[in-house]
Amino acid sequence: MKLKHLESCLSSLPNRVFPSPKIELEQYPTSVHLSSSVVLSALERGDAGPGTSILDLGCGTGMLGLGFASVQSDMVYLVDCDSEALELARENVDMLVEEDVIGRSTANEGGAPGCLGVELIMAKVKHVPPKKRNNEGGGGRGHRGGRGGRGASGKKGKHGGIFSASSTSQDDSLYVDPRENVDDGIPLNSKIVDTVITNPPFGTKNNEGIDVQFLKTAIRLARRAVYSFHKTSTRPFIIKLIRERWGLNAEVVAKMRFEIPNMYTFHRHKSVDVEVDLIRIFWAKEEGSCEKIDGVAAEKDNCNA
Amino acid sequence: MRLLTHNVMRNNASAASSTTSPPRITAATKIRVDEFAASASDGGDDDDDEAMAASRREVEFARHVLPILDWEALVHAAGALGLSSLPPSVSKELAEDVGFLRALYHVLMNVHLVDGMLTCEVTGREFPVTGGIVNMMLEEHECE
Repeated sequence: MKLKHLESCLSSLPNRVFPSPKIELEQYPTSVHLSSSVVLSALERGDAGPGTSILDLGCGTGMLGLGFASVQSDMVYLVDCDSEALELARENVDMLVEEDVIGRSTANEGGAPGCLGVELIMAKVKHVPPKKRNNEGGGGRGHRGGRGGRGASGKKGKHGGIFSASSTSQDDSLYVDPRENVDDGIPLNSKIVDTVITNPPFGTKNNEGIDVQFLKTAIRLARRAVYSFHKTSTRPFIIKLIRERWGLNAEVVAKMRFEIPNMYTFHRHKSVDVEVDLIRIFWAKEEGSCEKIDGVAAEKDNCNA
Repeated sequence: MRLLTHNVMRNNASAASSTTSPPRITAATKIRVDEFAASASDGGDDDDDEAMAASRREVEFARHVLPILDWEALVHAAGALGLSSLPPSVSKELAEDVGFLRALYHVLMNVHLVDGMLTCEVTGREFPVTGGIVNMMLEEHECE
């Protein structure tokens, strides 16, 4: 499927933005262009399309998950904790059902079979921020600023210590192997889909580490691959965590620029640009992939306009 | 909520750690069953080809998903929705039978619990299903 075709398919969705975004959930729109690029990246790698099942963790209005549905993935689960977001997603699903993009296995006008089904599930990733968990500890191990943060320049070493032997404090539990802990608030069996896509909250002062918690849940639910967005400033930390701590493969699929619009009154600027990596975590050994883990396969500019 | 979705649900709360089965369907006030698409074959040749392709895809899907199913739970859930056509267990021969796989696809994907209730057998925790969406929200204290 061509990028333009996918983009026009997603552009037809009635709900592409949140009419009243919730600040604590970091709800901001995923652009049609971004969603389409991600889906095509996954399609190229065999992680999407016919024969695969997909789960979008924290789907919002469903822009990412429904992109996967638009490339004839067998089954797509949309999971979010916000009933209003799910209602918007449901209207988007209804639209695609009407257009025969989603339906039973019958072919649509173009002759290609559609997505077999999309399911909406209301569930919330459990997250206890390290600071709350470890009140008596010295704190100061917070590992990133908010979504609208100004990057992490000059904060080198902020992740220091989490791999050290002496680091046995409670907040260490955030970084344990995702496959060892199913008690993450998402009442779904492990390995239920091939691929999980997640655009997690990047975390604020009050819930730092939530992106790692989303990543862990995503890894638990997937059999084949996970696609997750992380601030580029956290790349060394995230890659090291995935590879050394969890023993999984990781590659940076694309580097993007998120333009976070000023949806909230406390943002002083009209919008904030944040550099973001699309990271792919995968299980199967694939030729040549291990060597280019720190490389950036593609540079893409993105506008969440 | 499709029966496939129900089948992959688990109450992961630590209090329910002794169970590996999905919560039971304890109420089903509204059910929707989509038509059995694969049986449509009264059109021309093109339609037949399409129906064949669709049917093959459904069979492949069912074959793919069969190993991860909790069969006993599926039989029970289908029963709760008034479907008693599933065999009590799946033999190796049956797992390769096209007719069986097509019927399995229908049960997994075309039968929806629209409004109802799921109940965890261990903790009694209820998960309401409203308008086809299951609410699996756990309180913080339930998952510690």
